[in-house]
Amino acid sequence: MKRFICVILCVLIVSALPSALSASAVDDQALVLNPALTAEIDAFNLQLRLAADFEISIITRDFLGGKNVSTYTNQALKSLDSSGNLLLVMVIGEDAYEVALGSNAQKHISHEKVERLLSDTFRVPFLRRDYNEAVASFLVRFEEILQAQTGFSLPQASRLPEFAKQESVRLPKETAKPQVDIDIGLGSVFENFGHNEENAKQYSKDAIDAQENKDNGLSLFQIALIGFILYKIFGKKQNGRRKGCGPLGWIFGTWGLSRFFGWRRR
Amino acid sequence: MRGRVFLAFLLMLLLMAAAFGIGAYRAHFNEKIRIDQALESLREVLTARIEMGNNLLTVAGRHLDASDPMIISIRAQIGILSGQASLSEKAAANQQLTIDSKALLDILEHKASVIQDGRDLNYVTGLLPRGFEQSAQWADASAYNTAAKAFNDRLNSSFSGRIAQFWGVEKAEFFSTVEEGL
Repeated sequence: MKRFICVILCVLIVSALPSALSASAVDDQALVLNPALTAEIDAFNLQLRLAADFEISIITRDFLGGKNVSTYTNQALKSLDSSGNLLLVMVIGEDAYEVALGSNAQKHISHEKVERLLSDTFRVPFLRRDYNEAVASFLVRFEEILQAQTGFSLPQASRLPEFAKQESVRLPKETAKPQVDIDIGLGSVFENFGHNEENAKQYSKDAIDAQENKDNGLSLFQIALIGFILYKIFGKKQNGRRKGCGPLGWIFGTWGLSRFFGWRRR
Repeated sequence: MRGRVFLAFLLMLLLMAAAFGIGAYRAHFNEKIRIDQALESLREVLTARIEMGNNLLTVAGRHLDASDPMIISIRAQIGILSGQASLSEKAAANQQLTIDSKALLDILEHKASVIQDGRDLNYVTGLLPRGFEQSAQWADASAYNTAAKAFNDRLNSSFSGRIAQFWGVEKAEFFSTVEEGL
């Protein structure tokens, strides 16, 4: 029995592992951030959650398809699991970024202060396309501000200051935007790839439904039944003897007429 | 007595004709609703084309003058696609957007400022053409046009279809240019 429970527990732990691993606050759709930096941000968030009960979520995208970055950011924050977070959206192909603060984040820092912080630390490296440096610089400065209020500090082994300052971890420009596979890359080109894909599927289904027109018209069974009823009403004389053709004749007649009048199901 | 029988027979004929007329109208009206639904879905899908047009304009705006005829043309096609234009106008704009976007991507690909900019060169040679291809695939109007043609054929070729037309069921409009003449 103990073995069985152990096996069940192991299975549960293993199955829960992927979801725990994928619960990163960084959604790097444009593939511009170093995975090591993403890991650092996750460690940073772990501390931040304990100290101030919110996280910093980051979304990188190539384009927004003409949508206003501020509108997109606010909508994205609302759709996050934890909408109390601070959300930073970086639109690489449009050289634009925006920040939105959820309720928990606003308890500790104002929107204006974050904007100022971004202008001081993030803007220049972002426009220079040093995205890792931009994010790391912002987080390091953010930590300094929050430290005074909440006692929050960076994890001891954090490499964020390295990413913010040192040349050794800066990515060469050619790899700042690596060639990406079509299925991965297109997600960050459309404003909402999944929604567009759903629309396309719906359109395809609607067009097929309209073309086939399955629901309309009488089925073969209904036609045969109507033909038989008509035979019963009109196909016999009052003395019960047959008048004209038999039931099959009436059924085939109804079938022919249904074609002529367009009643038959296709 | 004979007059009553005749009146009853006449009434029966009238009721049968009314039932036939209502049935024909309802059947074709419901069909038309399905066609309109497919058209509405196609319109939704066209937003992907608009998005791609905007993305291309963003990149092109960094390397070409805003008065460039190609940029002006693409902006005009996006305006038509996102506005209240007729179906044939939108179909023409969609077609023109495909041609213009290919031409503009080709111009950008060979422009010195793009070649020097690794990120934009990547967009121009990779993500944007793929995005356009994907959006064109999604917004393939042939499925809708086939459904519209099938509906129009049913409306024209059957007696009940003509009755429905008499009662106001209209033919489906095609998503095609005047030149294509579907």
